[in-house]
Order: sequence, then C-alpha cells, then structure tokens
Amino acid sequence: MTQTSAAPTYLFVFRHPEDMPELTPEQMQQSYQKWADWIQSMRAQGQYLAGEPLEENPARLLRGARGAQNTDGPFAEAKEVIGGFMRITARDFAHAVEIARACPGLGTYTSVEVRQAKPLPGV
Amino acid sequence: MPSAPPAAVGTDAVAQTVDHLFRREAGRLVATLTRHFGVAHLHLAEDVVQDALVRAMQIWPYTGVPEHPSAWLLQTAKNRALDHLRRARLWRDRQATLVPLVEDGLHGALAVPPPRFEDEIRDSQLCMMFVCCHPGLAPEAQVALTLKTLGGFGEPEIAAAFLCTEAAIAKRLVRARQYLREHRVGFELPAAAQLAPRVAVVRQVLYLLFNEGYKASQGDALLRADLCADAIRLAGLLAAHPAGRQPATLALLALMHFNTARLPARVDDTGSLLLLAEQDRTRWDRREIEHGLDCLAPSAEGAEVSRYHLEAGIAACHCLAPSYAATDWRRILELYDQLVALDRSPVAALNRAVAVARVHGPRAGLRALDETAGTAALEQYHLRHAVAGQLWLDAGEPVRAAGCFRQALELAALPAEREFLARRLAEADGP
Repeated sequence: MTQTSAAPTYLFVFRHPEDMPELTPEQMQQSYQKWADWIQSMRAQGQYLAGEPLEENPARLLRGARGAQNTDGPFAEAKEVIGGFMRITARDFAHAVEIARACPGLGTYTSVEVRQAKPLPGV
Repeated sequence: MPSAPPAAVGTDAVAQTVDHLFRREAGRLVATLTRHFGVAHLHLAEDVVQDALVRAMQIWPYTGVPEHPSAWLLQTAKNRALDHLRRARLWRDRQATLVPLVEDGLHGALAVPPPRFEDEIRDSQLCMMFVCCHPGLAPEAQVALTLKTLGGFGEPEIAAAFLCTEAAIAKRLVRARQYLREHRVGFELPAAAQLAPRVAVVRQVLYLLFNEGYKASQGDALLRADLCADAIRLAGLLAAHPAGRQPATLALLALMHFNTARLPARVDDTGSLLLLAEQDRTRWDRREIEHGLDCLAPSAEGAEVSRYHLEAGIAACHCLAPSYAATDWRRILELYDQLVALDRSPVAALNRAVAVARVHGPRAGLRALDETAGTAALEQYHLRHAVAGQLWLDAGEPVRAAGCFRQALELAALPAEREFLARRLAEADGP
C-alpha cells in the first residue's frame, strides 16, 4: 500500500524508577501477559510498527566535542531509566495518547511519554 | 541455540500463556543451574534464574513466548550470569572462583544434545528434591526450600501460604542454604543404602506441602490450589524415577489425586464450607479420581501398608461413593482402625469417631470421641467440638449440640469456619 504522504507516527518512551521491587515469577508472568495482550491488540488494529526493550547497561551519555564528556549510566540526575520504546501509527495525537493510556505498566511504575514523529516525505 | 521465532502477528487469538509457565520454568532452571554450579552456590543459581525471567518478562511481549522456553532461558542465563557476577557486590570477592565455574557449567548445560535436554532437567529436579528434603533441615525449612527452588514461588507467596512474615521465610531460606553449604550436601541421588529413608522424607515433605494447600479456605484460594498442584507434580516426578517409585509413593499420589478431585465442591458459590454430606458430587473432578485409581492399583504391590495407603483407601471410598448415604463406612472404619494404630494423632482419632458414628450410630461415635487418646490436646481443636455437636444433633439432643457448637465457635478463627459453625448453631437452637 503506497501513500502520497505518510501519516505521522508516534513514539512511546517508557520509563521506570531505577530501583523497582523484585517480582515473583508468578507476578512476572502476569506482567508479561498484560504487556503481550496490549501489544497484540495494537498489532491486531494495525497500530504497532516497532518496539524494543532496552538494556539497562551498558549505558553511556555523551556530551561535548566528540563526546569528550561522558558518563556511564545509570545517570545520577535521572530518577528514572528508559526501559524501552515503541513506534505506532494512530489517527492523530489524541488517538495515540488514548492508545498509550492502555499501557499496563501505567498502573504500577511505568511512565509513558508520547511524542509525534515528523512525517516522512511522501513515497 | 536457535533464536526465538517471532509471535504470529495479526492473529486474533493470543494464545494464553500456559498457566504458571514462569514458575515452572524457574523450578526447572534452578535445578539445572544448581547441578552445574553446585549446591554451595544455590543462591547464585536462584539470582541468575531471577535475572533470566526478568529478561523474559521484558522481551517476550515483543517476540512472543519462544517455542522452547527452557532453552531460551538457559541461553539467557548464560549470557547474564557473568554480567551478574561482575556487577553484584555480593559476589565480587568470589569472582575468581565463580566465573570459571559459571562459564564451564553453563557451557556444559547448553552443550547437551536436545534429546537429553529434557531428561537432564527431570533428573536435576529429582536431585533437587533430595537436596531440599535433606534430613538435616527442619520440616518447615524443607517445605519452604522446595517451594522456592522447585516450585518457583516467591518469598511473599510462601509467606502468604504459611501465614507468616516474609522476613521469617527469608531467614528460614538463608539458614537452609547455609546448612547445605556447611554440610557440603551434594547434588546427587542418595546412595543405595540411604535411598529408602531419604525418599520417605521427600514423601513426608510433599505430603505436608499438599496439606498446606488443601486446608480449607485459608488465605488466597488460588495459591492454595497451586500448592496442591505442585505437590502432585513433584510426587509424579518422584514416582516416575526408579529411585522414587515405591508403593508408598504411588499411594501418596493416589491420595493427592482423590483429595484434589473434591476441591471444586468444598466451598459453595458464596465461599462457605460444605460438609462432605452437603457437597455436590457432580462437581468432583472425575479425571482426578481416575488418576487416583491409576495409582492405587500399583500401590497395592508389596507388603507395606503406609499411612498413605490407608488415607488413599479412605479417600477412594469417598470418591467412589455415588452419595453420602451410599458410602462404604464399614470399609472406612476398618481403614481408620489401622490408621490410628500407625498415627496416634488426635486428628486421626477424631476422623475415626465420625466413621464409628456412621457405622454404629451417633452415641457410639460420641463414646469413641471420649475414649480418644490425647483428649486434652483435642479440647482446643474447634473441629472436635464441631464433630461432637453434629453427633449430638444426630442423636436428637439439640441442647447438648448447641453447647458444643458454642465451644467450637470460641475456638474457630477462620471466617468460613465461623460462618459454618454459626449455621450449625442456629440449626441446633431451632426455630
């Protein structure tokens, strides 16, 4: 399916506190199942494009010319770490936010930042 | 190891992950890793498994559950174990010894050809059972360690099952691991000469574990059903191996299946306890009864009559009776006569008194109750008074019955039991 101008895509950035309580295997399974159901529902509706969880380490923050200043994660000034991201399509930003609201992590420790990516040039 | 295939995208039905998959895999993996790290490093094995499951929890939503979860987790464990060792402060000072252990051990674990992979996991779990049920550990430590390592239960869950604090469970586990380390307990089947008594200990632990789950309506109902299911699973593992397949093991399995069969009918829809006489027998799980019968026949081989044989026989009588009225109480009484000779507990005597009443009438049952050895201990047991109350009701003495039910109510702690007793008391007090 070709588009004359691609619809905007949206990014979900997931963050959680650095120190999270340890889950039991049963609790982990429940968490896994909720996330899997959410992603599956986005796939089924053609909204899900891509996504990945991120390793907590190694992590490095570069600043300055050629990244001369750099710090290894976790980063002192950030109270949270980025756990992963997803790229989705939606009707508009409000719709993207609505989809994000269903993120199962929101009930516990996860925060979801919703951003709009610039639309790609028409194909 | 082959990489995990992605989940079928766009399918409408997301396959519900197999119940307790994470917990089961935790048990399998801890056993496998302990085989390779050694019992002295049990805690490292548990930490590494926890890490691998966290990875699964984060990654599988995107990829789907892999076709061979155990293989995926073991590969992940290998990748993570060394990283874990380098970073975890607890292990830093022992890195020199642990790192090669992990590298060689996990290399070995992953090098096993696929057909042997499952066999090795089963064997590892069996060895793990003997480790957890080491006779040097106290029974509550044996049970806790079994639940943690083989059952994949977390400390909060074990605490909930035993109605004690997480801190108490944590301490119990730490001490148990310390004991295993100090006494250099190996990861192996006991020597032939010690096998019989060691297997008997394992049976006892599994029996305790099952009963913990079977106790009526304490705490989380689902958790308790999980304890019963795990006890059966582990007993099955024991019975499947030549080292553990004695008639007494099969009798224990039969008993567990028969009792499990009746679980669905024990509480009504409002959560109230139902007497055996009141239970809807159509709700009994016929498949579990079949499983019980499958174990009962081979358990009769040989001369040994263990308590499990007797209890299984009694449970079979109940499960096979089409109704309470049609129950073979004479047979049950015969079995209880043998059981009280083996097991001098007041509880066995109490149950026997009920059987006496069914065969010889309520007043005979009340006499049997009075003759019970260790009556003093029974006086504090609410069920003793509840049984006496019911027998007085059956004997046409509601006033004496009411007195007993009041005594029972004073002693009963659980809401479901108090509610049950209150109903009985109302019945005794009459309109």
